[in-house]
Amino acid sequence: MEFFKRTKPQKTVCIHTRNLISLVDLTPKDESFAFYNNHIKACEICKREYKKISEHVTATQVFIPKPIMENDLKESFEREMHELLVNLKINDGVVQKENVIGFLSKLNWFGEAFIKSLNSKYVYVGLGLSAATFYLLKHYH
Amino acid sequence: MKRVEFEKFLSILSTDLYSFAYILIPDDLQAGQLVVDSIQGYIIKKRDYIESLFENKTKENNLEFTNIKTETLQLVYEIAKKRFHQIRLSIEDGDNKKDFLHLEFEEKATLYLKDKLKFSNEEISNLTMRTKNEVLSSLFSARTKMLKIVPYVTIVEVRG
Repeated sequence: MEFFKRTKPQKTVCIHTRNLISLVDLTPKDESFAFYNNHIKACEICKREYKKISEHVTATQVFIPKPIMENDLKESFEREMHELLVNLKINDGVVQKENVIGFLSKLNWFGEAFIKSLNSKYVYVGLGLSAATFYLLKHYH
Repeated sequence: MKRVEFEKFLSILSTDLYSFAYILIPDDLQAGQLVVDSIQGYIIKKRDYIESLFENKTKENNLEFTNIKTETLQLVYEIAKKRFHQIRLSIEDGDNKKDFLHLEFEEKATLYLKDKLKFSNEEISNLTMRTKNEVLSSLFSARTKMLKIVPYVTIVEVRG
């Protein structure tokens, strides 16, 4: 009877293996994420295959180029951008506003300095000297 | 932010824009022109917004820079899509080469945004104006093709 006793056949393929690659880009928010994630925990074939796919996908990153702009092209790009911004007068309003504010704040500073100086001892000394000079000139001339 | 700083920012931004443009249209001059056109389009479209950045004296412009980057990449994608179909024959070399640059237009764009520029699926979906499922589908087919282009044996051999 031992001979007829059936053992569970060893699974060699899984129908989900070919779609495993999608798990690389799925996030927990996605519907199928939970399914595949649970499946690879239960299925040895898919677990092994997914590990292989993940390594493979990481390795393919090297084969995705990142082209770099040549120096000539970059220089001409920067020149064009500068001319564009100048021609569009994109910053001129701001510069004019800053100039007006700068002029007014300087004017304000001079005004404050003048008012402060009216109350200083040097002004009183000056006035005293002027009055003395005036008196002397009037009296002895 | 001043104009000089903005120009510097555009210069830095051009690196990512150019590489993305070249991936979509593999030709030096076409890609360069695509970047210029996209930035011009963006500046004209968003003039008020840019001027408001110039008036903003705070240094916290990172969020704005990220927005500008995403929106200009979107313009690069939009313009490239139109031009690619017009000039497809002139830029194809016809030698049936198998590499990343020979993937389908959408596949290249999606995979590049995901793997090189590190955009999320949602961001790619917004940028390319496609549904999330379409994005996932493009990623699936692009990755499948890439796995075929770069056989696993090669990787094992390289690793030794």
